[in-house]
This record gives sequence, C-alpha cells and structure tokens, in this order.
Amino acid sequence: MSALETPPDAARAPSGSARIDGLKSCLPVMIGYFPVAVTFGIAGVAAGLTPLQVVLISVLVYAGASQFLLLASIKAGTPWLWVVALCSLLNARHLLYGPLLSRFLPAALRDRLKVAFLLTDEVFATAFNRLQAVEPGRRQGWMIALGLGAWLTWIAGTAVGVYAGDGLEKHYPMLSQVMRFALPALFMALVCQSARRGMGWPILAAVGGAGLIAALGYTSLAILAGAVIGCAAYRMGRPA
Amino acid sequence: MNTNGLEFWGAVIAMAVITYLTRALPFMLSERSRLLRRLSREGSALSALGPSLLAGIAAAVIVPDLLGAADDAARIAPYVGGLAVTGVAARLVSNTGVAVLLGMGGYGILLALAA
Repeated sequence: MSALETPPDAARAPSGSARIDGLKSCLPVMIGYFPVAVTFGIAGVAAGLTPLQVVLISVLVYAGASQFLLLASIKAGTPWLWVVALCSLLNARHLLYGPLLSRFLPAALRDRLKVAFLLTDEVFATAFNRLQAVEPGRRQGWMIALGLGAWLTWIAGTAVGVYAGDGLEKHYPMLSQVMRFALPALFMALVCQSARRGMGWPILAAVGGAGLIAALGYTSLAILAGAVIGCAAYRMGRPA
Repeated sequence: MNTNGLEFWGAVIAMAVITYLTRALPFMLSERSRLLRRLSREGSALSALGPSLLAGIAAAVIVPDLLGAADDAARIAPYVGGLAVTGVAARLVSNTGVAVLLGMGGYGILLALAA
C-alpha cells in the first residue's frame, strides 16, 4: 500500500491518551528500526569510529540512509563535501513531507518545528495514514509520541550495536549475519514502496544504471547517477 | 575522510542541519506558497528524485554484496531470496519496518537451510 493512501480504519478515532496512542502507532516503526540501528552501531564501530561518535551521529543526524552513506563514505574515502552534497540530495524527498502533513498539524510554527526533527520516512508514512483519525487538539501530543518513540529506539538500537555488537558476532554469528541484511532489506522495502503508479520505469532505470556503475566499483557516483537517470526516465515517460 | 578531526564533525553537523532543514523548511512556508504547491504537486520532477535516489542507494548497497557472493551459491541464494521476500512484503504491508523484519526472517530461514 502506498503511504499516500488512507487505510479503511483511518476514520476510527483512537481511544486513550494521545501519547499512548502515538506510541502504539509507533510500535511497528520501533520493531523495524531496532535491528537497523543495531546494524548501524556495529557498522560504525567497524568503520573505525568511537562509540561516542557513532551514538552522537544517531542522536544528531537521525536519518538512516544518510548515516549509512556517511559510513560508506568513510570506508571509500569520499571527500566530506561530497558526503554533505549527497546527504542533501538524499534528503530532498523530506521536502515533500511537510506540505503533505501541514493540513493535519497544529498551526503554531513552534509546534511544527518540534515535529520536523522527528519526521523520518516511516514516521511520515505512519502519521500520514493515521493523523487525520486523531482529534485535532490531541494531534501534537500524538505526533511527538510517535516521533520520540522512533528516535529513542534508533538511539537505543545504535548503543546496543556499539556496545553489544561484538558479543552478538561471537556468540550468535548467524543472528549477526541476519542483522547485517537489515540494510539491503530496508532499501529494498523503501524502493518497492516508493514504486507507486508511474514510478516503476524510472525506478527500474535508476536501479539498472546505478547498479552498473556500482558494479564497476564507483558506489558514490552510482547513487548520483541513479538519481539523474531516474528523473530523466520520469521526464521522458511523461506525456508532453 | 579523517574521522578524528574537525572535518568529520563538520560533516556530521552539516548533515544534521541539512536533514533538519529539509524537514522543517516546508513548515515555514505559507500554505499558499507557490513552491509548496510545486513540491507537493503529483508529477513534479522532485517527486521522482526521492524514489530515484532510494533506487540508486539500493543498487549501491546491494550490487557489491551480490558481486562479493557471486561464486558462492550458499550465500547468494539466501540473499536473493531474502530480497524477494522483502520486496513482496513491502508491497503487501504498508509498514517498512514489518517488511524489513519479514525479509530478515526469510533471509535467516534460507541461510539456515543453505548451511
């Protein structure tokens, strides 16, 4: 189901306090975030960062794809200006979330700016599907609970990966291997879910082009090429 | 990139600020803003940028793994199978986290079967 569709139960107003309801809605996001964050913690230490550096990245940046991009760039020796530029491109999709959620959120800018820090892909998708079913007066509390639940899970998962990752590797090697699969699985899931109507061909073109360049060993360039190829294919596919 | 110097922290802070700004800036614009309407309009060039970038990153993450495991059927089959399970799950359930967990479960089962 696309994040832009409204599920049939959206019309039912959630019961209980707004924060508890927000946390309940956050549960699937938390379950999904934890292993990915643990993987980030393990990968961060493996990339040569100190535990504090890894945890602070999760606290401050709080954007999974950008954080893994940072680790990949450290490994590949990519210049930091490139990393920041790629991060900007990567996050450009967030610009769409505010306009789509604006009509459901309280009008006060201060409240909206608090929500903005917590607005990841998954938080946006959950909020977009459920926020309209929450009473307007309770939406800020609901949204903050949803966002904070996801953020704290991300930080906790990172810390577990940093401090317990070694033990996991030694005692449960298969579990560690499965957890490392969380990253390709996350991007596979995000790509499949973003392939809404009219976007299938651009995504296939982007995967094909970027895959070819990545196979040649230029992974940073592959990401940029994927963006350009996908947008070009989208433009070519649109009626004039 | 040197991970001990100011350069590293500069990059991290810049990424944090950029990430926050991309999330917060649209809230600062007036609801009648032309830019806002263009950004949220179905069919704008930006609407293809996000999915295309995700596709590019997915390729950059997955293709090196596939090439690394190309000669070992016991590694590549569970990997491809796990991706297929994730893809199907992502199309069937709206929650990305659940799709990731199902994909990881599928990968784990296939890995155990291949061992």
